[in-house]
Amino acid sequence: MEHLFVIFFSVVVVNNFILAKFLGLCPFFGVSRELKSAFSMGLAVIFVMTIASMVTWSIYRYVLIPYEVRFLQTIVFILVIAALVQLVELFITKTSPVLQRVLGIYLPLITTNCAVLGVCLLNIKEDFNFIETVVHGIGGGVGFTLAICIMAGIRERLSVCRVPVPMQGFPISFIIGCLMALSFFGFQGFLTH
Amino acid sequence: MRELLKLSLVLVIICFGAALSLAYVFNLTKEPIAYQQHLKKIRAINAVFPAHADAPGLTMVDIPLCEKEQQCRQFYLIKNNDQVLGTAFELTAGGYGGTISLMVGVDKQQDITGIKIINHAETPGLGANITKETFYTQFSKKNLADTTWKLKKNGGDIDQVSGATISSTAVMKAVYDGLVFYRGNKEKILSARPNKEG
Amino acid sequence: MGFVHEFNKGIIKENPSFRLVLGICPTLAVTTSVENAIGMGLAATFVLLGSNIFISLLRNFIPDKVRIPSFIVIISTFVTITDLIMAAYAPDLHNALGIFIPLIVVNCIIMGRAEAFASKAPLGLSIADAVGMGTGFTLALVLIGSIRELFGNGTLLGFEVMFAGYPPAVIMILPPGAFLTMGLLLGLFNYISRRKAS
Repeated sequence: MEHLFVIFFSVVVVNNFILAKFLGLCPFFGVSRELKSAFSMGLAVIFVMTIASMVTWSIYRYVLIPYEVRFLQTIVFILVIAALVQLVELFITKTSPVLQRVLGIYLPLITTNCAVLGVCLLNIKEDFNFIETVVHGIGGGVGFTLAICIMAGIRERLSVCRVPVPMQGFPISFIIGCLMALSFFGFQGFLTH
Repeated sequence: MRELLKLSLVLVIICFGAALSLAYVFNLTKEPIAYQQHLKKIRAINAVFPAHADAPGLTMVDIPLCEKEQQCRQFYLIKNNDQVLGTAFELTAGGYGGTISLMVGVDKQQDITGIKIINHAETPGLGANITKETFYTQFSKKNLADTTWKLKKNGGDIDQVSGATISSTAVMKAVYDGLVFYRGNKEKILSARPNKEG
Repeated sequence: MGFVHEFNKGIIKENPSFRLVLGICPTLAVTTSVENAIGMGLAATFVLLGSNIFISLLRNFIPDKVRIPSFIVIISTFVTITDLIMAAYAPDLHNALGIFIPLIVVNCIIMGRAEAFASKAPLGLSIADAVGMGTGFTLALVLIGSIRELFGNGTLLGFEVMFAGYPPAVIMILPPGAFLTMGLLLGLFNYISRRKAS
């Protein structure tokens, strides 16, 4: 139990997907102008990451390994993620207009989000069992949401500041990312026993 | 209906072509990849058991030793003909930034022949200096009986990496635990019958 | 004329890293050294070339409705081939790049070029586009990698370049340094292109 907490805390804060592992940077800079949309994107990511982790792990364990076709991992995983996102979109549209309004436009963007494929690959690399995979998936999404919301909050404030013209847009966002990464770096060593 | 069939057919053809080319490349690279893994293992063992590197006539044998279900350690017995010289085995430690994995070589007299850091996630410039020769070579020739297994600043014999107490302690503790385990299972390890020659 | 034009645009005017700001994940992750930067650049260029060629050749064969899944299969096939070949013949680089090799499949540059260009253009121009974008990407990676390795390690391609006794700014090879370098470079290139425009 404590072990699961360590995995969760580690991936949310210590080894944050965006600020320490460099996964999910495209939406980090692309969808972080407003806090509301950033939060919605984060929720969508948590949702997809968790389900994708579970499904890809199961396929790896029960199909790829027994049939000795582990080299098909990349192809199978990305196809599964793409299909999953389509299915989730269909499901949400049919069953919950509320969710559709909140998450709808962000779902297709998640297919090429390297964080989702990244978390699925990491689950295999770290040799997690099923429960650890689920916790890792949820944690990855939560860490992603945390970082993207902080960024959105800062950028909302930044819109009333005078940023030098060449630095407007991406450059200043990267500098913000640098400062965020620096502050999160302080969490290193938090979990040493 | 006809369109669905056509779409599916295109996808099937593409996937089939993809799977075929991948299987081909996989077969082509299977041996080189296995060879690289093997080479990596040999290099690590050579680093911790110099006698194995110097005399290629020595054989090396894989022995899995299981304390409980799912908790097996892999031991590599180094022999000269039928005479067992010692063993090398892997250890893991909880470092500052993550897990540190290292290889340790011990001879029949329970003296360390060498250690090598295989993997780590320590901070560059600080904890990462455990991979520097000035740190890890100090473990050679140490054993359980004649060494005080504490950091020098705590009155022991182990030099630490400056500014990286936690990383140094992690390595020290892992090596100590490994030596204790070896002492407790020495007969079993050194006289084990191999499943396959290495 | 068409060939040269497509090639050149990938290097400066539509440089995928600095102008289109695509494929940021590997750009920041693997540029801790020039060697890794070159390795990733070459791997990505190979995948880009292969996928552009096949998608261009098959552009009249793949129906519009299944083009995304088809592209995904083709691109990931080339990524897996690259992964296997690197594991077999360049194991140190393979280890250093880690999960970012399979992550090439979601690199927006490759999917973007397939969708926007190769699926509509003839073979020759698609090749030029791939080589141009790939080269532009590699050059960008090498630029960032050089800055980070030089200031963060005092070396370039492993050779000591900085004056002796240079205390490396370790932060440069850590995540904050990556963001900082990229942000400053983007600002610089913005400034240059504004000057040119006015």
